[in-house]
Amino acid sequence: MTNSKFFRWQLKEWFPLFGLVLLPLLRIVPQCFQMPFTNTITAEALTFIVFLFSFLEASILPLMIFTYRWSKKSADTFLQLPCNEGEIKKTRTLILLLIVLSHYLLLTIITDIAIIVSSFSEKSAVYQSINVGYLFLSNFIFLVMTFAQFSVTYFFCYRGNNLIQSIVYLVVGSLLLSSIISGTLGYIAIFSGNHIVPASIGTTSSYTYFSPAVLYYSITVMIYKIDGVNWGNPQLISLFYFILTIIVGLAASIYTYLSKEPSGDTAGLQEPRSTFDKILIHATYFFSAGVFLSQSAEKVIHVISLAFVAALYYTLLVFVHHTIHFSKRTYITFASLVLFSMVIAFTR
Amino acid sequence: MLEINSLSKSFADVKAVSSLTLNIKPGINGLVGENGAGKSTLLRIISGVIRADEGDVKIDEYPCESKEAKAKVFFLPDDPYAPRRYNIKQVVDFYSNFYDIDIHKFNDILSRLELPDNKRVTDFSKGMKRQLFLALAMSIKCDYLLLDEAFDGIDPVTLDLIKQELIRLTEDENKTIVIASHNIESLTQLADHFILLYKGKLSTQEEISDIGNDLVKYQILTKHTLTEQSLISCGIDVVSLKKVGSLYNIVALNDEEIEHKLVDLYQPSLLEKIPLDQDEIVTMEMLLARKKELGHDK
Repeated sequence: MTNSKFFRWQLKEWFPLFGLVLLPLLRIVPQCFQMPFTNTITAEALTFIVFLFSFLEASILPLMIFTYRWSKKSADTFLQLPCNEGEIKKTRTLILLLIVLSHYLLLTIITDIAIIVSSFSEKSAVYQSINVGYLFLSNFIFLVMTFAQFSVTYFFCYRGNNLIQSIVYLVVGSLLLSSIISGTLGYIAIFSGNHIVPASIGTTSSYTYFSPAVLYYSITVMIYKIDGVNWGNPQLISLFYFILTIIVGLAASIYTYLSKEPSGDTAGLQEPRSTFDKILIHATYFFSAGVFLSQSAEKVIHVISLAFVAALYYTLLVFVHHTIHFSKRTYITFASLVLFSMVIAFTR
Repeated sequence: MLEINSLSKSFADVKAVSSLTLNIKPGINGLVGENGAGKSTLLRIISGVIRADEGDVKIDEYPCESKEAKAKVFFLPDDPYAPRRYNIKQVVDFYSNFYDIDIHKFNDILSRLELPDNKRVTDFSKGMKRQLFLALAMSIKCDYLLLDEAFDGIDPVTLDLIKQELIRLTEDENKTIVIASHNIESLTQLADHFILLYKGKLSTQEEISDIGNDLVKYQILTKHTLTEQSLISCGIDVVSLKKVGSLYNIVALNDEEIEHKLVDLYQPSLLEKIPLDQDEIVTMEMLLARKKELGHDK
């Protein structure tokens, strides 16, 4: 599956990344020494810090997988190496995934031990209030979330031919996903008569698809209510959200992992390399504008918001194409979408 | 055996390589052509870096993108890459993960190049970087060496050393070397065969001894004014016409009647057939390829 020599070399190259785990350890270890915990919130906060750190890692590190494709020079070197098709990408993916997940597991083991030991102490306020089963379940769910975030970042970074494109695709891709998910949740809310869901839509339309705060809130609600079999809407939505996360994460990682290595002539290229990449920014504007317009607000607010998003849309196009002179087709698409959304904003 | 069959590759609307069929012969092959002729693209396809749109390349029966084929080839691009913080030893360590390197030979070549051991390779001058990577390329145990713009920025003393080593590689180790370069003088001293590309197509592939057999050069002194058009109109297939002082130098396609035609038309006070030197031959062949293409387009 991977070239063992390349694996060893790459692992050695990226070994210093393992040291990243020291950063949260510096924050967590003093917490552990302050046991017993004063309350359950401290325990939850500790678990969340670990998740947040891994989540951030999973949102940034996949960029490194494709650095060898960001210039013609390095692509010439790496793509000529005697490896099988796609081996370089696969090897780098596995190593970075290993780094992210091992960090999460290492930190989780440390915090879990601290929490469990504390829960056995009669002096602790969390004595008997920590359910080890739930703790492990939340660990597992956060592990899956970390993997899903890694996969989605991996998928969007793969689209870029250079650093700027990769970052732009990562941002617009996350926005697009969150818009689609918000839209889907909105429809569920309409059909189920749920009034909680619309309130969470604004939060899910944040920078990332798997917004950690929303996830933490919804999953905590879900796992603490699970044995009460209180399958009200918040839990149902959390479950739906979790299943969707698994599906999107798996689909993104499997697709990207198995995709053919793009030809070296696209390395460092200023133009997007496929039709999908070309329409990604347009689609993001379309769906983001849809989410804006679906929310009740003053007409003026809608128009100002859309003008701001359209300016951002134009800026992202400049970054991706690396020029202000677009093709006629790009200009027409841009103008049509902005005009269409403005007309809707004025007329609704 | 390195076989190229009906190979085509385009970048946007530009055809970089067009229906190219070619067998690369053992020994040193000089790959020449104008800028944009498709030399680098061809080398990048052979080494498996980029994929062709049509056709295929087989290296000892293996498709060029296969691991087996890649293990037989080492491609040195025009601007070789080294990770930012790497020194010479680290660069060699990197390549030794993938290729069998003759370290004794590498150290031997390196000792004659006087490159700094501790300095980062990215801080090397262009010539120094090229020297290092040429030393590495010549020490890698592979059957095919593809060198793009191999002699750029190298001083004459080092260049001489590298040329000797390249010749030794083909004689002792039976390697097939393809060198794409605009340094015609160095290529003519080294190459056993010449491959001339023009706009991605094969214009000429000849042994060094055969190249230029179809060309002839005359030195002519006359009171008349010579123009390419006047020479063409009297049936001389002129490739190049230059005036040096009061003398005209004409390079044309060989024709038994050429001398008679020149005498009849221009009554020269001096008409002398002079030999073309090797690098002049290659330049003239490139010019001829362009003229043929222009004639073909018309």
